[in-house]
Amino acid sequence: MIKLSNISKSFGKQTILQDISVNIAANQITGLIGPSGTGKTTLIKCLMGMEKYDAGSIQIDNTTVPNRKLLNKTGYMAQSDSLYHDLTGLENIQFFAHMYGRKISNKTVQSTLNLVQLEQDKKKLVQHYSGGMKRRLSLAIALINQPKYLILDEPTVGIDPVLKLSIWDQLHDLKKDSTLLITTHIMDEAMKCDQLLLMKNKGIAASGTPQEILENFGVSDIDQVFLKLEEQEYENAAAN
Amino acid sequence: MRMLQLIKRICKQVLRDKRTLALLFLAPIFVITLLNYIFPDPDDEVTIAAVNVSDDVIDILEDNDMIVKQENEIDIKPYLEDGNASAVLEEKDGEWTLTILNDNPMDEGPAIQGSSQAVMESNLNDLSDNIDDMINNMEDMSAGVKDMMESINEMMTQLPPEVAQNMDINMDMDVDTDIDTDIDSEIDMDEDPITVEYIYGDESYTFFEILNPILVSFFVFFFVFLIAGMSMLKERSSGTLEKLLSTPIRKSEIVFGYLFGYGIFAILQTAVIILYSVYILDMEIAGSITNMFIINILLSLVALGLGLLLSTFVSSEFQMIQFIPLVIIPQIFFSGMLNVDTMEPWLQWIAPIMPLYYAGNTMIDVVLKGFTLGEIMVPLSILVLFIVVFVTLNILGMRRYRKV
Repeated sequence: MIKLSNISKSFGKQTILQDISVNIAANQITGLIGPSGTGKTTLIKCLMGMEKYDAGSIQIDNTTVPNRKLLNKTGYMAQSDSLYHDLTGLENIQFFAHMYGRKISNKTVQSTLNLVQLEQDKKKLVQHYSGGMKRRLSLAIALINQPKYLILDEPTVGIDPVLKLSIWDQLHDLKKDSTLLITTHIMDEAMKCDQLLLMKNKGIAASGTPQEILENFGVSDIDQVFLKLEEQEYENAAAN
Repeated sequence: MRMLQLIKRICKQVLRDKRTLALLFLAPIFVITLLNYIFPDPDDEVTIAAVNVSDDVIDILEDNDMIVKQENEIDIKPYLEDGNASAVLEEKDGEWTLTILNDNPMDEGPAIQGSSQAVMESNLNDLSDNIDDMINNMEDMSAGVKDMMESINEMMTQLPPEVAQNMDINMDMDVDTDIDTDIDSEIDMDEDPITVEYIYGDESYTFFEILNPILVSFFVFFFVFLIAGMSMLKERSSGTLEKLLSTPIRKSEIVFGYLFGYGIFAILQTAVIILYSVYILDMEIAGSITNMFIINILLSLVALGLGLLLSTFVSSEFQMIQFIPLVIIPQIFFSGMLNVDTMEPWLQWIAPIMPLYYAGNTMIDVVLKGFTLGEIMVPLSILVLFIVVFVTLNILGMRRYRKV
């Protein structure tokens, strides 16, 4: 279980995250949604121990972040494709597999490549991959250590609809053993998550299952939730 | 284990990048070969144009292996700029003038040296001729005096004895008419006025031979710095460093992986440059080739550490290039080509913070002076210190990307 308590983070004078407290439920897909620039990526980097948070605490399985050992049970996929373009797909995934302490078998590597449908192209250099293929390879690498916690920053950008559906099916399958945290700003994808965290104004503006959130705001899709939030904010400002 | 995989990956990447391989191995060989032939051979002939110069001087110039063109009434500037000669030597009312373009320091030395030597020699010859003349005159004079004496004596004998006695001429017939004419008026011009003794090497040493050991070190430093810095920058800007740090790899494993991964190529490059200089270009080495390796391998690790470190302060390849005039070029001046002891005091303080200062000067010590390993222990230790400092700073610098 991931537990965030009173997390604050600022870069210089600019506050990015302010007093965020939230628990991320185990064996669920939690969607972190919100307009760009609301601190989704910063929050994820704090979770990974890549950024230092100024106040509060983050605990994963009762271990305080940052902790290097925790990274053994975490899979991470960044927004950009973090791949070695002068290596083949297979070499990329093998290299990252070796970075985890325990031995990762060739079978796991193969099945992971199958999962993202890259088996055919594994011997090609990544620089000859299409955008979607690179994204899929990044996803495969994030899954390679069969992580208990899977943190994916906009995983489906640039992936075609058919493959996107199959990836979402796979992600739901992964729920058996893993806890997933996914950022996205594609609102129809948000509906596929089990839990949603809506980020707005440096904090979490709403949370719950997609259905709960829609009912609470009395709207029919997630986009309108953000419009409502905008209106509320405007009214609050006027009232003050 | 992780480090080994990192090294393996780096090797794969470098071997696939043919251009980087060429930069590492062919570029230094190309430049060193070029330099070997680019510096003029001191035995090369220098052409001097002579205006109103006596044949004596021309003879001397030609004796000294210079090509002399006899000219009358030339416009010196265009004449020299057209490359007709390296210098124009002119005599006017006993005043000698040597005109040179002063646009190429390589040509001037021999022209000035040769001409002044020739003029001096001819002056000396004139002087000794004058002395000879003087001696001849004196001999003539003394011969005249002798003649006079003899005629006086003759006259005396012809005078009546009483007159002769009364004349009270106390003529000392022993006037030394025998002036010593053995003055050595021959000034031997065949022998050098000064004998030059070389403590290290001999007179056949060219500028290149003194420069080459420094250049070997310079190339090792420059290319390793550039390649290490660039690759770490690429790792950072492509996001793979972040991805790498999302795995449980230790920050020190990344730094050492890089150090050893690129270190392999640095060592190979060093070997290629040294073996090429020694066996193909016939660089003479007084010391041991092993010591050359030790110096340059340590230096390449320093360059790796520095390149990795500086790459964390830049955000593009262009910014990495901007470090070259700032970090690399100044080190050349302190690497042993110029004498640091005679520099401004504040410059002498800068020298010890430069890795190439130690490597370059130690290379000269080993290659030209034949220093042994024991004698170069101090600079080697300082290079090791540089490596330790840079590696530590790199590991600390990784904290920017991950806090543990």
